[in-house]
Formats: sequence, C-alpha cells, structure tokens
Amino acid sequence: MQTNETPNLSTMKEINPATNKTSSNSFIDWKAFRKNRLGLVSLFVIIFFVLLALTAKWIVPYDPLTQNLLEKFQGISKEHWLGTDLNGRDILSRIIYGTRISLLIALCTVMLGATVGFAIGIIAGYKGGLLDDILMRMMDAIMTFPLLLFALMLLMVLDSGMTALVIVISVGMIPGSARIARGTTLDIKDREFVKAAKSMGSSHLRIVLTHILPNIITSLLVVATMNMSLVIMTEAGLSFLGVGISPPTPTWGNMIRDGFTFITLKPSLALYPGIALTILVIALNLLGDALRDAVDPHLKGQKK
Amino acid sequence: MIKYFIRRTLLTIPTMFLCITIIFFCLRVVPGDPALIMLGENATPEAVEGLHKAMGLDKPIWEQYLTFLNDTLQGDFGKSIYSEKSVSKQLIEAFPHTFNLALMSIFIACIIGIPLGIVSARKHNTLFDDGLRVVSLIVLAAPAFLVGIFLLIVFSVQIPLFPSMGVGNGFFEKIYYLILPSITIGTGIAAALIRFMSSSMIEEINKDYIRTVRAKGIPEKLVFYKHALRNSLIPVVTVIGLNMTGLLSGAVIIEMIFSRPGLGSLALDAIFARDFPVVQGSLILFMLIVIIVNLLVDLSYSLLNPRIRQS
Repeated sequence: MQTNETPNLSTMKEINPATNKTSSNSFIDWKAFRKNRLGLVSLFVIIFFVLLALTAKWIVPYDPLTQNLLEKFQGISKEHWLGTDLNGRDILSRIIYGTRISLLIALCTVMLGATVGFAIGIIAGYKGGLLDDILMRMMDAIMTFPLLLFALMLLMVLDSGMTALVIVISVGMIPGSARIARGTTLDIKDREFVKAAKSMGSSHLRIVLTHILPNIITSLLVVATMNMSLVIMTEAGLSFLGVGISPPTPTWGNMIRDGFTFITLKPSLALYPGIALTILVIALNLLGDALRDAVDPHLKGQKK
Repeated sequence: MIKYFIRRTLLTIPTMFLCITIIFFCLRVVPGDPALIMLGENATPEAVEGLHKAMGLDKPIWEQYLTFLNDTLQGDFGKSIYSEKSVSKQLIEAFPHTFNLALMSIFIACIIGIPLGIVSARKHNTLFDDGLRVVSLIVLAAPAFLVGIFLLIVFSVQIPLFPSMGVGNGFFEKIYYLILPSITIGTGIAAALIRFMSSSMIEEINKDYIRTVRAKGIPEKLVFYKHALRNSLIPVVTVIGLNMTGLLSGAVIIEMIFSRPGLGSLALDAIFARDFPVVQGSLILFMLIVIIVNLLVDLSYSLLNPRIRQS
C-alpha cells in the first residue's frame, strides 16, 4: 500500500493484468489481498453498509419520513439513538435509508460510466489512428470540466431526479475508465496470442470479446471501487447544493443540507450523516487501494 | 526545448475547441428550450419568441454554433439575462477572488503537505507514519463542504476568531478573510500531497546516486535534505496540477458556505437563476483555467526534469 500511492486514476493505465501469469479468468491475487488487513477491514465495512442498505426496510426503528413535531431536535436517547431532526424524524433511520440511495446511485453511476468508458477505450485502442486521436481528445476535454459544475449545468437543463443524476455523474467517470481500457488494449493487441487468433481468422468482435475484454474486466473492478467514493462525494455535494435527489427523500447530502440550516442550534444534524459518508468513502478508498495492489504485478514483485 | 514548448502549447487548441463545442451542445441540444426554461412554464408565446430572437435561437443550429464560436474567440460571452451586465465584465470582476482563494489554498497545502510528507518518509513504517496516513485518509475522505461548515461553526460562530463572510479590503484583511476557506480546500490537497511526497521521497532515497552520496560519507541529514528532497519535489507540481479541477469544484461550494463573491458563486447563482450566458461564460473560463494550468504544469515539469523533453 505504501509503495505507489497515487490518487489519480490516469496513472492506473500502467496496470497491466495481462502480465499476471495466473491461468484463470480472475487476475486478482486473492492470497495477496487476504494479507492486506486494511483492505479486509474496509471490505467488511462496505459489506456492513450494503447489508444496512438491503435490509433497511426491516431494521430501521422508525419510518424515515414520518414527522413528529412533538419530538423535534431531540438529543441522543434510548428511543432515538442519534436523536431527531427539525421535523422530529429519527436520524438513525434516515441515515440507514440514505445509505441505500448513496450506494444505489454510486453503483449505477460507476457501472454506466465504466461500461461506456471501457467501450470507448477499447475502440480507441483497438482501431488506433484518427479515431483514437479524436476519442481521446474528447476524453481530455471532458476531464477539464470540474465535475460538480458540469453536473450542475446538465442537471439544470435535464430534469433533476435519480436517472438524470446517474447519467450526469457517470459522464465524469468516462474519461478515466477510457484511458485505462485504451492502455490495456494497446498493450494486448500486439501480443502473440492476439496475432495468432487473427491469423486463424477470428473476427474483430471475437478478438475483443474473448481476448481483450477478460483482461480488462479486473481493471473494471478496481476502477469501479475507486470511482465509487468520488461519486458518493459528488452526489452528496449536489444534494447539499440542492440539485440532487429532492427532499424529503433521505440522502446524506440532503441531511447535511438540512443540518446546515440549524448548524448553530444542533451541529450533530449535519455531523452524523457526514461521519457515515466519511467512513464509507474511507472504506472504498482503502478497498480500491488493496484491490489495485492485488492486481498490479509491479507492486507484487516488490513485496516478495 | 522551444520546439517542445510550442508543440505542447499548440496541442491545447483542439482541446479548447472541443470543450467549447461540448458546452455549446450540452446547453442547446439537450431536451428543453432555453428560452422556455428561463422564462418559466407560464411564459407567453410572444415573450418566448422575443427571447429566441434576442438569443439568436431562431437561426439554424450550425449558424448559432458559428456565431457562438466567433463571439467566444473574441472574448464576448454576451449579456446576463437578468442584470444586463456584460458577462466578460462579471467574470473579470469575480476572477481575482477565486484566484486568491486558489493561490492561498495551494500555499496552505504546501506548508502543511511538504514538511509532513518529508517526515512521513523519514519515519517510514513507524507509528508516526501510520498515524499520519490515517489522518490524511480521513481528511481526503471528508467532503470539503462538511469541513467548511464545521470550521465556520467552530472558528467563526462559537469562537469568533475569523469572519464568516465576505472578502475584506486591503492586502492583510484579504488574507485574514481567506484563512478559513483556504484551510478547508488546502487541507484536502495537503492530504494528497503528503501521500505523494512521501512515496516519491522513499523511491528517491532508494536510488543508486543516493547510495553513492552515502558511501562518500555525507551526513544523513544532508543526503536527505540536499540530494533526495530536490528530486522528489517534482511531484508537487503534478499534484497541484491534478488537483486543479477539484480545487475549482471545491471553490464553488466553499464560496457558497463562506458567502464569498467569486467565479464559483457567480456560476452557482447563474445556474440557479437559469442565466444561460453567465453559465456558459463561467464554464468556458473554468475550463480555460484548467487547460492553462495543465499546460503550465507540463511545461514546468519539462523544465524540472530534462528527461521528459527528449521523449
């Protein structure tokens, strides 16, 4: 973990799962991963959050939308573990429901962005030439937009809502994935087994599907994990600015926004969802690091 | 050298062109009539048509695009729909505030990040290093708006040390007003800088030339601070370049929390008011800043490291 810590995704094009000599389709070295204690802990933290999200309906002590004005702004108590907000809604229940939205949006966004990005990257890398130049310059252009402003602008013209939010944020995820996919494709397409397949008359589609795609799938996992934290933060930022999922739906960004209004009165309103957000983002970052280390053959060589 | 500079500078032109094109088409081709969005659902057809004419929306799309491109290249972003002020003038007024914020944030990031990065490398694999890594992980993960809100509460509301809004007049007052907002943005960059700095320092210290220096009997402190440090400072430039888009996105939220005028709040207000020309103008300026900073980073990188020039 300490050896090559670069937060930027563009450096990840150096990842080359193909040089890893394991014969199975999965190029993640699970043995190495299991030794990474931080990675394991964060995996469990994420599983915990996922379970919370999946079982939210049954485990929340209160309905997250039910208002009870008699009980507003309560502190920590036996009935309300984390207190209640300005409308007397139970904060813990709202945070648990917020997990659901955050994870759902993050998952959809990352998958959409990575799929489109990988498609663009594979086409650019495989075809090369002018098409490659045009596609990659477009990726560069998208990369220069500050994601938050870009999302704000698009949400202004589209109607805000879950689908729009997912599509808009995923646009920001495309360039990073495209670069990684292109790098890997470039590396693989000139190797012997691809040449052999070509000389045996395999179609381009077949080569991409059977030779290039399996080599990139693992990077997809790493990129997806690393991007998820970025998406969760952006979504919370957009909700905080008031253009994300509209209230009263409980999302962490909305809760922090509500809390901001009453920050002097009760800072914990913004603090608790903020802590939940921070823990999830840390766990995702650490898991991404651990997965990258388990995939990256360069690092593995150094550790042994 | 000069050839590389010219080539790299010319390469930014297609990127800029593409950015402007993307912004144009995002605002025009996506569903929804800008005039209708601006005037609201209940606008009379005459009003919508009038605005169409005023904005040139009645012409075919390619003609609009060419006019837009032409105006943009001349630095003319049109007029704000509400205040009727020229957009370029508004941008020029707002720019210094954001520029100061960015500069101060980078400064704070450097004074926190560089020394701590060095210490983390020197004490590699000790408890101190681990602690530092945990702290920087938390800082990296905590969203800027949350940090900003709590700095505001603690140091300006509970303990009134710093102002909670505005930008101040005069050099020292301006810096005083900048402290809280730039700490909010700066600590995030500092966290990235610590990790980057420390890993590049460790990489550097394991190189052959350092072994030679050590073999000559140079004191360890000198080896570290004179020889290794100089070469591992190069990534600092990269980190700042990489964080530029994040910094500008951060500025949007931070300027809102601390009620500062600036490009971020200008863009945000324009977005909420559906003031298309201002949104367009500020987005183009944002993208221009990012492209120019990336260019400067690349150029200074090649100045610092001659090996890059040759490739």
